[in-house]
Amino acid sequence: MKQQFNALLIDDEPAARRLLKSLLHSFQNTITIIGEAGSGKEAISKINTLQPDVIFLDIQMPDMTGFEVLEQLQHQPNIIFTTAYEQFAMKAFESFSIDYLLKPIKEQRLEQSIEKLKTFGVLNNQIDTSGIREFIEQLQTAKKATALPIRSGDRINLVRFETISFLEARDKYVSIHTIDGKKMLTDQSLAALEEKLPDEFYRIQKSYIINKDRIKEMHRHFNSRYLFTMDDKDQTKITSGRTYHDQIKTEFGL
Amino acid sequence: MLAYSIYEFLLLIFICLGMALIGLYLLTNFDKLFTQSIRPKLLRKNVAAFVVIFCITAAFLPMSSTFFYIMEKHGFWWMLAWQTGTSVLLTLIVYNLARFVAENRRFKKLPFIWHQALIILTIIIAGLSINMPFTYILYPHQANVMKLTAISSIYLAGATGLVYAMNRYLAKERKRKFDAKELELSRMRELKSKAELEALQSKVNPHFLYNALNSIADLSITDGKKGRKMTIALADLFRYSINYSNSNFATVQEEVEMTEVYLQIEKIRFEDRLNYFLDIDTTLRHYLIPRFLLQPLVENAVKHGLKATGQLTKIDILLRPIEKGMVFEIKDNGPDFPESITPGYGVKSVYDKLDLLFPEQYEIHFSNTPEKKISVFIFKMIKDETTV
Repeated sequence: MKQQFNALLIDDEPAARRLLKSLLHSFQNTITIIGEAGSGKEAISKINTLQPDVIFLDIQMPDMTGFEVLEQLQHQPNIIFTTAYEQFAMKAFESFSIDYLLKPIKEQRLEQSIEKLKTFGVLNNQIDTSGIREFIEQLQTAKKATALPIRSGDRINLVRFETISFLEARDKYVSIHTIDGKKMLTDQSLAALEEKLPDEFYRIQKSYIINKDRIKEMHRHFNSRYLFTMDDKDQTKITSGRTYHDQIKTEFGL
Repeated sequence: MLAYSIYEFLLLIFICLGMALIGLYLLTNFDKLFTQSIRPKLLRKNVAAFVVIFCITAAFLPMSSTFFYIMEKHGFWWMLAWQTGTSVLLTLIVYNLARFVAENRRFKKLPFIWHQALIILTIIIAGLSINMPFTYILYPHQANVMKLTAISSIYLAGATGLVYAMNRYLAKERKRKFDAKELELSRMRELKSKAELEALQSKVNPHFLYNALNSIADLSITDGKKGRKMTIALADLFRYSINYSNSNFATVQEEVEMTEVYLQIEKIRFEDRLNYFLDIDTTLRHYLIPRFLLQPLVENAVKHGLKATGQLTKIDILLRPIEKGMVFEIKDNGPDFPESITPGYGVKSVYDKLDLLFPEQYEIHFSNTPEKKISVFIFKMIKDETTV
């Protein structure tokens, strides 16, 4: 069966598109290049107007990722991703059985993908984009968030999570207390900060969030409260709120 | 009157001084007394308190007329018995009351100074309430004696309390200093190992490397000269990142050169959609800054300028001296920094390096007005001696 596929090449780097074009030259009988796009936005409009059978899609583009492009399409083409991603992310593609080409692209690998396209006529055009996006975002955030950016004027300080002892809300401000006894002010709300902080941070009172890794001692206090002594320079003592009693009990397995 | 010779008085004074010294010495070492010989804590503390109280009250005995009174009337052994008896009582009641106040959790929550004041007050009141009835039994209806006893008891109890409080304060201070030092040390170790590891590893983003190699794969066919240029630039950058000297520092000159190499690569990759301009104060060339300080910031500018817009991007890198330091400014004509910035991996590594090598001596500013730029202030000048 002889089949002809119209292809669109999407990559932000001109050299990368050129390379792909010259590599695809050897598959002229199967692939006809009908266009190129240098950004995610351009890609969306060209896919919708040109309606290609197959797209070669770069994942990391400056304006949006390849996955975001897919989410905005009306026309659903066959997809072959191209990527310079590291090893760990390739696992993600494999577990979602997505066709991908690693950069720098090898001829044999490209041939395999095209053979597959020829044999089956279709590739995985039902891609669980939100699933894989979540997967990759998880991998990235796990790598990224280790500190809290605190702005004062133009200056931005990074306060590393492990150096934070506790956060205290006062009036319109929240003060962040570090283990070496320093204090930083921010106008972000405690609730907003709570979202940015990792799981070690735990709310024990309306106006206090503490770093569980920096608890030195905790005692049962009167009136269904707990007294926490923090492992910081001042050995700060904080009492939990009464309404938090049950949560704290389960959280710390008491 | 009394039938004592001057020698006997002198002997008495020396014995009393000796008792006072022993008492004070034991008091300062109170926590360590009898730790070997007596196991139960309460008993041990009480015995220790007894010895201390016995010594100290004995030291002050000649000041109270009781001593002479009993000595005259009943003789030395009765005097000793009296002294022992009152010491036992003082121990049992005054010491244990003071101990209760000192150890009770609710009182411990008071500020240090109030807590110590409360302990001293307890000692004084308890001491008074024991001494006064006894004095009354010995000298009924003698207001003068009562007054004297009261004054000497307050004096004695107050002094003991103060020595105790002083001792506690010194111990607390010592512990605080020790803790602070320990904390600082462990924090430094933690930060050092972590930042060092990150500073030594992954200096060139692997993503960048693969993309550059992909471009070379194309250029090797389409434009050999450019391909060659890029390969050489990439080799230089990679060599710099391998860091043979194993130093976390580099000179301003090295850093600027490598940044330029990086920009050349990007310029080839994006086919002259990138322009850059370097304005480096040459007097600063031989000063040391963290290795790979500049490149991540410039990479960030390329990402936010060129890549986000796809338009012709201009990047300016400025370095000028400031009072006791220098400032780098990296500007691009891309969209403004968002209101809440979360520094990415590259920028975070810049913070890490500065935290390690210039702790508390740097500032990083992100501004949108009057122009979009990142400024890195370093408030310390380290000259590289090897290149001069």
